Amino acid sequence: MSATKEFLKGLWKENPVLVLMLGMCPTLAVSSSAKNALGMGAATTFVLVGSNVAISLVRKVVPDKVRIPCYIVIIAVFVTIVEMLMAAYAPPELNVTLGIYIPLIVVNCIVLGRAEAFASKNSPWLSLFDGLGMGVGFTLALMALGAVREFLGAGTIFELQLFPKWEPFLLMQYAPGAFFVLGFFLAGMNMLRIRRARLEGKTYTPPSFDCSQCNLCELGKD
Amino acid sequence: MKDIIRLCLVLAAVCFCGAAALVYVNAKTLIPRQQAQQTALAESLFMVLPPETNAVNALELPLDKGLSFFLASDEEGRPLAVAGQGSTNTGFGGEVVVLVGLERDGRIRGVMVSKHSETPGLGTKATDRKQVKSLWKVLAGKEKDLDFPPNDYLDIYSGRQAGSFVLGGGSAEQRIDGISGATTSCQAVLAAVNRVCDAYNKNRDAIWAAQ
Repeated sequence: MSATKEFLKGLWKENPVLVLMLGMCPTLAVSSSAKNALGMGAATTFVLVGSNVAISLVRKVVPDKVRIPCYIVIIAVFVTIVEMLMAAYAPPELNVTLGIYIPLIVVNCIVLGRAEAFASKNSPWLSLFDGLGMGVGFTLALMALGAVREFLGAGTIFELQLFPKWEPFLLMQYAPGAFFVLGFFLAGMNMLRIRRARLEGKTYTPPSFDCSQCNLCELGKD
Repeated sequence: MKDIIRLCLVLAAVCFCGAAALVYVNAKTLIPRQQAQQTALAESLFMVLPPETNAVNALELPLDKGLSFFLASDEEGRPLAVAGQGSTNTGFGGEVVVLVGLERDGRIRGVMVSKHSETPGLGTKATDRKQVKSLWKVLAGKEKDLDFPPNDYLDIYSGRQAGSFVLGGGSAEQRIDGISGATTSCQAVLAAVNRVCDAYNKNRDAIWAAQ
């Protein structure tokens, strides 16, 4: 039951991209098409699950003072494994488009954030589901952004054309388009939460994205 | 002091375990990775060479680093066409490797970018050959896979005489128009194509004589 809860929270309630606002760099960079988003999401999910379980296993052995370097080493190991596996087994075109973003997963805030906020305090079993949920949530958010951007920018979804004579809205393919679409997504997310809070008779306070008020990690408390 | 030694030991142990895991995965994926590279090269070669190609031989010529030529022959062993591979480091993301298919008379059959690290969505407009399929046609089963998907930039080279190309300038034979938003990538592709053409023109006789 608890494992299901840990998995489900990453999909909506604590979605890494739309609620926790983590991993903005790959979100903005790789969401230009649904296919790239799926590939990046799958690679990140693998790293998240692997590093979460490994970090959770060593959480009692690693002293507090060197935990961040240890986490980074573990995450880097998993990213290198992903890179080698993709070079060996992934379709070459995916390798070509995602090539430069894979090494950047090492510094993806979601991976380090979950390591610090969850895996270092919970059992490997729960950490696995936390990583899986966060990874799937990240993938879904990225794919939603990618599908909207790809459709507006090129008139296609998963490289399949929907309308033959679509006038491409080129801006959406570029970096500013990513900011626009993400902004609308976040606004929609807030709207839904405000409505839900109102239905429950509460007042909704939007989350403040200030590091001092965030309880996600304890990086600032050392 | 004792504390520092303990911290160092833990960190070293973690690094050691990580390194061991990587050594294992590296050894396990070495052969599949090489195979994937070879398959990718074979597929790209097939795209720039004529469909009648029966065998492709890598040629051993005294060329600069990053340049190589492949000779395609038909079933009776007659040379059909040549594919030249050339690389440059001037891409936006570093290395760009192109494959240029060349006809007997020195005209370019087609250009393919076989390796690059250009920005997806921007630089890739000048490097990726992509077929736009219609969702409805795919659902109806009417869409066919193209052997050589189009690319607005790379297709400019097709049918041109191998020579020294200039981006957005030069004479009519030399002029190649770039793509906005991908200027650096266009220039890198152009530089690599020029290297191949230059090497081809210098070694033409040796290339066609090789069997």
